[in-house]
Amino acid sequence: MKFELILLVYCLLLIFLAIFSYGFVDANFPLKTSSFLYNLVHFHRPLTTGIYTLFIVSLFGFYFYFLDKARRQQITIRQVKTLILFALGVLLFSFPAFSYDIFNYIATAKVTFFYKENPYLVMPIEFLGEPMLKFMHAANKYALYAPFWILLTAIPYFLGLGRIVLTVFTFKAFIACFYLISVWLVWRLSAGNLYSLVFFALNPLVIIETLVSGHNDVVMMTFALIAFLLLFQKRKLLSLISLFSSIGIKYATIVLTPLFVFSFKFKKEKLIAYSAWLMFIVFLLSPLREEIYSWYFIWVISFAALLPKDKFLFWLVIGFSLGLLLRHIPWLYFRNWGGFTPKIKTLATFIPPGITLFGYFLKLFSK
Amino acid sequence: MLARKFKNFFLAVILISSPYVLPYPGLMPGNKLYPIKQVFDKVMEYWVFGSFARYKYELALADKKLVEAKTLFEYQQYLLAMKALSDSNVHFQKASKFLEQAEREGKNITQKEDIYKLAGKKHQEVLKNLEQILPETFIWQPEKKPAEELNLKSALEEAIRLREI
Repeated sequence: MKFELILLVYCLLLIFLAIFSYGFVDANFPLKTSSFLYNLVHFHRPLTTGIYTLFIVSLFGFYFYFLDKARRQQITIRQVKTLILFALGVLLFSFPAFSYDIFNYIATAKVTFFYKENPYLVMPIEFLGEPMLKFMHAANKYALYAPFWILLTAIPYFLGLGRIVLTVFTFKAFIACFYLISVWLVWRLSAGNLYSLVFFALNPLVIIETLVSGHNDVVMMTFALIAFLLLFQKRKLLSLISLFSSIGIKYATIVLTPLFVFSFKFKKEKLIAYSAWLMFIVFLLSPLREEIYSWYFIWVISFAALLPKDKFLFWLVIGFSLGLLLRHIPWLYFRNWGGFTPKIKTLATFIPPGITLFGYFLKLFSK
Repeated sequence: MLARKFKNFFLAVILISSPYVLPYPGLMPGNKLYPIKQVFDKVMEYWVFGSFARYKYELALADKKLVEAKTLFEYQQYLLAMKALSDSNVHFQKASKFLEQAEREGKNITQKEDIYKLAGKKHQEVLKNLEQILPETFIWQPEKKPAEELNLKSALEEAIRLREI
């Protein structure tokens, strides 16, 4: 009975989050949103920032609760499955509120499959009169992602039947499918560890950046996890193909290639630990290209979930998951990327992991 | 109507000064690595698909070959210069064909057409300057082959004519 109540409150929270996301619909996007939500998000910025912070804090509250239940084995796989499916079912219908990347994916797919142009050489902005230009935020960029991703986007693009609103949701559904596959892979690779499953699947950063904003990082990580599963099954060729597919989504997993080549030298646990740390290094180096984006941390969480005994990694992931979600706050409040925003974003990113790791070391040395 | 007249006037002002910037030519004919560059350009052709992409690619090559030709003419490497100029002509015409193809595909080519016109104007500027400094003809005498008369003036005139849009 108690779990059902928790589930109900959790679902209500997700439903409110999904409703709240519709306040972020661009004025030029061909979807009429509630004027109340639009005005709230665009003209009551302190309140919007407060609501967003409340969502994040509440989601982390539930996350800790579910993790604790999983650690104590007081939650069943059936209950976790229900939570995952509810989160997916509700947030699939949310609007990609905190990032415009999904529109870049759609635009790149349109350049490729509708205009039949090479998206690495022709930018969306070059198509005068293209309706997406009214609400896109990075129309002046060539394709940022690797070719396999562009090839895969043919599926949600054609399922969208040329209608932008439908296409947004076919892309979201496509990415949600990969979320489900990656959740299953974490379950398989952790040999049915419920704690690992909860750690990955119900992480607020994974949920928001994958199921709300629809980032493709989970697709890249799905192929990387498939590669590991195949590697542990001694199917090396298929494993390498899967690794290259992962690299073909977003390049970042290229750093895992040496681990695959010398996999015979490492035990399974070590291999996963090295992968987590390598992806963490790539994550930290991301400002060399642009900046640290919150969804990049999914690269680390995917492997960290498979190392439930590593407490240092646990607190690092918790700290960064919280900090990276708080990165959205200065933009929500100031609505510009200049001024104090970059500084506050950096502080928001690094203070929470600093605190969690300080707590970790304090506990470690007090023993 | 007034807006169209204003646009034409504005375009005419731009065309007089031709702000179009030609690229740095990179490796020149005669350089040992030049054949590799040519192979690279050829391979790129397969990567460049789509009418807009091909238009941009062909125009970029037309620009590059023109700068090559200009430099070679200035260094009196007339035979190589004539070849580079002829290549530039071919690429410039191909760019136009891909622009027409884009229009047939229903793409709005207004901006690209304007750029093409600017490029043509800039090319003409370069070619007209060359006309001033180059002899009308030149007898090219290779070491082991019979001499060849190169009609520089007519080649330049032909190139200018091709770029009159």
